[in-house]
Amino acid sequence: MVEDINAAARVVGEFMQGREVKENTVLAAYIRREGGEARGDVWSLAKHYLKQGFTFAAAAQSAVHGLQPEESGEAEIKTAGAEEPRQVDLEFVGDEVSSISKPAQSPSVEPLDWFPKKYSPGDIDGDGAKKLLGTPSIPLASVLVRETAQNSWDARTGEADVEFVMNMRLLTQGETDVLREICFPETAAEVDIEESMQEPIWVLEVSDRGTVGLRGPTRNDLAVPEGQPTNFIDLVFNLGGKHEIAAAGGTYGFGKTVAYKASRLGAVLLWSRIASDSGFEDRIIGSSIGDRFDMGGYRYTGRHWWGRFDDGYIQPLRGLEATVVGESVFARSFEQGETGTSLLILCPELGAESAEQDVALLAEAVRWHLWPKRLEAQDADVSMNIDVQLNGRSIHIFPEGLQNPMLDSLDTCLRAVRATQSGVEVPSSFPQVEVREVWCQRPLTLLGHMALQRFQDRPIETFAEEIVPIEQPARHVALMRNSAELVVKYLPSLPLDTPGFSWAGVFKPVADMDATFAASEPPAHDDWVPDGTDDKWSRTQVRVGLRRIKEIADAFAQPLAMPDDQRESQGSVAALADALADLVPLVTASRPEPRPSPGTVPGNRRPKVAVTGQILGPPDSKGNRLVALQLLVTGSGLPVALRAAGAIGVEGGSDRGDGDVEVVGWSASKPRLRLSDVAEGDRSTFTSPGDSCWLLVRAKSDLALDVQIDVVD
Amino acid sequence: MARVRVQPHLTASASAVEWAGWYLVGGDERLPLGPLLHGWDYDREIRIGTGPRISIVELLESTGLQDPADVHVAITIDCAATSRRFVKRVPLLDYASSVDPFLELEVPAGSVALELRMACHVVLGGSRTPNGLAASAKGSRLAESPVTKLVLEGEASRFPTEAVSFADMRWESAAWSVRIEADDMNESFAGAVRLFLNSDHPVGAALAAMEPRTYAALGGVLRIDIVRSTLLVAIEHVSTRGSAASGFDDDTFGAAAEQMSNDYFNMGLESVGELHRTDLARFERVLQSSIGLAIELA
Repeated sequence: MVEDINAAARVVGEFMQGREVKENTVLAAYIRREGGEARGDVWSLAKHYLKQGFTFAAAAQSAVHGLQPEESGEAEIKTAGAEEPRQVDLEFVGDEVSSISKPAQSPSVEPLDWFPKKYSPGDIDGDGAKKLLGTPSIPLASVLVRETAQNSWDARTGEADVEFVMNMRLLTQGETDVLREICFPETAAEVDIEESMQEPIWVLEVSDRGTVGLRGPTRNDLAVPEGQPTNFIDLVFNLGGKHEIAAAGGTYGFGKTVAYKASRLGAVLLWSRIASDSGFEDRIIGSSIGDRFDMGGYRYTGRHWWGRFDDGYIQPLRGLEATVVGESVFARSFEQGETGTSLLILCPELGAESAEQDVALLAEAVRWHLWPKRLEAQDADVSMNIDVQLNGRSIHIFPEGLQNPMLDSLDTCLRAVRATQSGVEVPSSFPQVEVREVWCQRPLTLLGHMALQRFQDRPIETFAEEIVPIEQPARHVALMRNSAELVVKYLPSLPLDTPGFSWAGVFKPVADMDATFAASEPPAHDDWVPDGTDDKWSRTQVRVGLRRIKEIADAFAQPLAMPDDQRESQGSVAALADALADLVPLVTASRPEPRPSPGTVPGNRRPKVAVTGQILGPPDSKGNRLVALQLLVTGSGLPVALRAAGAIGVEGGSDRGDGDVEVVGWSASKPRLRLSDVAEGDRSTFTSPGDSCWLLVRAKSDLALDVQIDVVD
Repeated sequence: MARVRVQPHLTASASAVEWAGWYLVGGDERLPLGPLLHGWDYDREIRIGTGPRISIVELLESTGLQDPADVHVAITIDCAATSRRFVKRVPLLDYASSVDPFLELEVPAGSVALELRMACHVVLGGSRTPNGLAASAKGSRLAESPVTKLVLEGEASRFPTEAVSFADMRWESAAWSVRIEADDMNESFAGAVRLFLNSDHPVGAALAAMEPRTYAALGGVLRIDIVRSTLLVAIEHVSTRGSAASGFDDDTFGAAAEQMSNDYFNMGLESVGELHRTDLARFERVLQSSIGLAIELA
């Protein structure tokens, strides 16, 4: 018996938000009744139990209070056809949007001039231009989302939030006619733009507001004064010009060719409104990147523009005419005081079988690559509000109840990194987030911070599985730059060593290192490649950073694996290490080696003295005694001078003592051992007439003596 | 120069004690110790011993002692580097009555360094009533051998090697792994390079223990792997990271790599890199032929 959803909703009526009675809203109400919040782990658990067939009440109670559903006392009711889908359908916000009323007739604007680029020295053709994008490792929809969002973020005015909209829409016949008759009225035979627009076409309209628009000069052959922006020519005419924007998302601009790659026709229409000294100015220009071709005896690169010729140069349509054309074609116009840019990608093809399915790709790409933008803005910065639409109708990009524990965890991790880098307390969370510093030792540099969190392993629900950039189980670190906070890459690491749980992490460089990591990004901005930078130290820092991120993540995921400084030695390997020593003969290590012995100079025999006998004398009343040592000298001429010194013999050495041991005399013959016979004075030296003599030493009778005798030169 | 220690009592005559050499004891084997102990590191415990020949009659007569039960035989092993002393002492009668009089002592792993000084002693086991010049204080040295030095460590080269459990490291179950982490060619070789032997793997464990047949069979393969790994990292530094190919400081990774390229390829790193890039098969042949696969054990 399937639980009656309406009956269930009546039970928790006071906790229902909104009037819609759906599974998600009812379950959320039951969770709120239990004192919980319908988000995060609690929400995921409750959904899980519900799918298992438990009642709303049992599922909510178990999720909030950590009980097993059977313990909640609620009977299990089997739901018909229980399933666990991964792919979910898009949900729309609100009702269907009626199409904006457009003029029935085409605006009275002269058709734009067509300018195909003829070859000249140094030109790059259309095919080469598209190849500048390289071979991104992520789907085209994801590249498009990342690149356009980065460009919009870079262009923010900072005075208002950025409104970023991607609207996949089917043009009306009138709009298509304007495109065909005014915007793209003439092309080469090889470029089938005109033919393609006999019927209404699909377009992807990407617009941003709260941005500066395509400012600056519209001719790229004239010198630009220092400090003047060049947004227009950089986007429209130039390829590969370095954007002098610190800590921006799109640094080199190669990625803008992605818009052309996303168009089956390789064509886009740009409408931008900028603020200038004389007020607001609209600019419209068409652009295409296609194959090279021949025409009229000349070779053409395959790059085309549609605008107005001015003094022999192709320029955008400006002013009121541009406004009229723009409002005739684009769905989103400019409000009073707004500036920004709208990009119309003709006949978009993002990899799905239909435009509607392409929208699912875009929405999923936004979820995975722009999710940081749903957080509140960083200090002193504006927010970016992102909207994905189908024919003007917004999609729920982050619908409540859409299960994605990894994105939830990434949210938490990014908040933790932000807090750390701002010097404030990391918000508490469950499960707890760990924040680690990432350092480079040489040169000693704090590269950034990484936050990591474990979470319960659950399938990720997605609009488009092919867009999901990670493999299950989740075990990835989202790399992003400090200011832009747009995901560069999901770096995989080891899976968690605890069954049933996954983990996620976020790494952000500190602000000072943002430019270093930016310089290491390829044209598609989907990786950090150390060798991509010119500076040696930057390469080291990026390389070490990536390695440390991996090491920290591995240690987090599988802490039972010993880190280098804690691994337990499994026994001596010195014998093998010595056997391999010849591979590295110049490396100083600890293998013992013979010490060179001092050589003897031939013919130079030094005299030697040896002790050949000893006699201990009786102790006197004071505890002193005489010790006589018999000496024999060899290798010396006569007489021979000797010198002696005595000390107390102790463990491991000698002690000079305090008069307890003293050389008191010498004798050429065996002496009598009577202390009374000893004369006062220094007797440390003696000249022996023969090669044998005796040495007398006085010492305490209970002491061991160390005596040294030398032949004096 | 002559240096002598005179005890305050009668000591054993030269004929009473005949000192013996020192031995490294392993199982049933006793290997004569030279001035150097090869194949030692901090993870290795060692047993050292000696077996002096003692004439009890001559000993008692020369020292003036009456009862051999008063006498002990001892060995001391001192390590100045770690300030440790290891002592083993047995009664003379027990020692002399043994079929194989031998005194040995274990030096635990990780307790010593650099050098050991070993000596054997015949000492008075306990205090006794003074009687003339005979020793009476407990521990009185009746005879002392010359001090023998044993060098454990020096400065000669040794390949950085460790035996670890790859399972603990969450590594794949290979027999060994050559790990090289050199961000810069001027990094210390010993810090950048490590040969890890997998103690969980029968081959890894056998190599770590220098099991003769295993080392004879695979030592050449291991050496080739080490040299190849080192050169590939160095080549990458030189060819893609713009590192210099020569002129490295001593003991650096770059110096070791340059020496390997010269020793085994007769060319510098740039040329070795070029060879690897253009003729990989020849690179491998030169590597194999110059290092060799056959290992002859001493």
